[in-house]
Amino acid sequence: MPFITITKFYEDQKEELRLRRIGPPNDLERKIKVAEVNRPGLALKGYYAYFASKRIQILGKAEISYLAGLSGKTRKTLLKKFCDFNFPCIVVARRLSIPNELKEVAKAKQIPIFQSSLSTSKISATITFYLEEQFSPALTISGTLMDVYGIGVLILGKSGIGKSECALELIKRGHRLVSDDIIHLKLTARKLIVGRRSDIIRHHMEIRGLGIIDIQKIFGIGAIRNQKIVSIIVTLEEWVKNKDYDRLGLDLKTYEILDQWLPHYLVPIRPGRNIAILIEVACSNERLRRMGIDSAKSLEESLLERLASTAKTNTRESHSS
Amino acid sequence: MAAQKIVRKTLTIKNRLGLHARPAALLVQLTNTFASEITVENNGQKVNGKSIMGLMMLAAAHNTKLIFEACGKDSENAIKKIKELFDLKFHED
Repeated sequence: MPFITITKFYEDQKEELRLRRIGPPNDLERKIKVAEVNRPGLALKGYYAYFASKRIQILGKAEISYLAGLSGKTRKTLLKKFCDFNFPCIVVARRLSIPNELKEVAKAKQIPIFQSSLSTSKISATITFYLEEQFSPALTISGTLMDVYGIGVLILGKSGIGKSECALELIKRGHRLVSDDIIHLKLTARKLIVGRRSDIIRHHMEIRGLGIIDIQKIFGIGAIRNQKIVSIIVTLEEWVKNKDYDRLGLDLKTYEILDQWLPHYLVPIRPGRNIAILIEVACSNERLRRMGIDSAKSLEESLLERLASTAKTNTRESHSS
Repeated sequence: MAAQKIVRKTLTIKNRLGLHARPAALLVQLTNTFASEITVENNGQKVNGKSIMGLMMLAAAHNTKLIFEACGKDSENAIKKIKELFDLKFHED
């Protein structure tokens, strides 16, 4: 089961959330396992049915002012029961002052407390977004990811088929490289596949016969980007004689990655076929399709119309003769 | 050298929709498996039987008669297989 530790959460989010750790560190190795947060208003009032105890607890103005209005003894009893649920950590909004009783019981239970300067709803949104990203399904694959006319195209194919050379040609034609060979793919909350370069490899590329080259240094900052949503997949393969490659493009083939189905083109390689141009055109065609223009379909429709009217004339002639 | 035998055959389009994109694709898939040169004629217009755009340009509707001509060492077999595809109405109807 995926999880992140409080330490990682704090390191990643302390700037964005303007987090401060309050009191002793307590147990920073605690695990966050769900991508949601909770406001424990009702729980503090004693209602624990459906209490989301696996989530980060956010205390806002309502919770803190309610606690402040209680006697010290009641406050301690309530907070002790609250902290018995052993949730990952507490985040207090708006730098609101934290009751001493909370610090005490949290220390006893080893629950870390953080204070943020942001409002409760901003904290909820930020943490939820961050956790969803952290917990989203991911996959690392071998291939080449390019941004061609704004369309993220993932080029797949066997080693040595010419993916890197094809990428070079595309870069030369003004398109951008995200990554060659190693691509980290992630499924976002909106069900989009985002491909990212490796932090170690960055924009280096290995070209047989040349060795390792740095695309950013050779072609400049305009030739690269760090991540891109994958929109289409092109698989390169050696031309298999008599294999039925798509001649029409009427039935879109798809390829499954992280439970999502993306448009897929199987492009055979043969001397004299400029693959970079084919990929460029595939991306332009995808842009057209997104604007509601399907070239194969519109040609087929006008042809069918013509055939229907010709068939009618044929029938009439055969009747009259 | 193998005999460059020419085989001619007139075939009628029997599927209701005529020779639209999908049947045209099936036909070129078939014709491209033969070494023979294959041409198709409709109303005096002659096109390469291995070209999908050419076949679509013929605008051959239901009941249209097309003249196929194959020239090459496997021409006989080519015409035979093309006739089979026509008889099957391109797997339509």
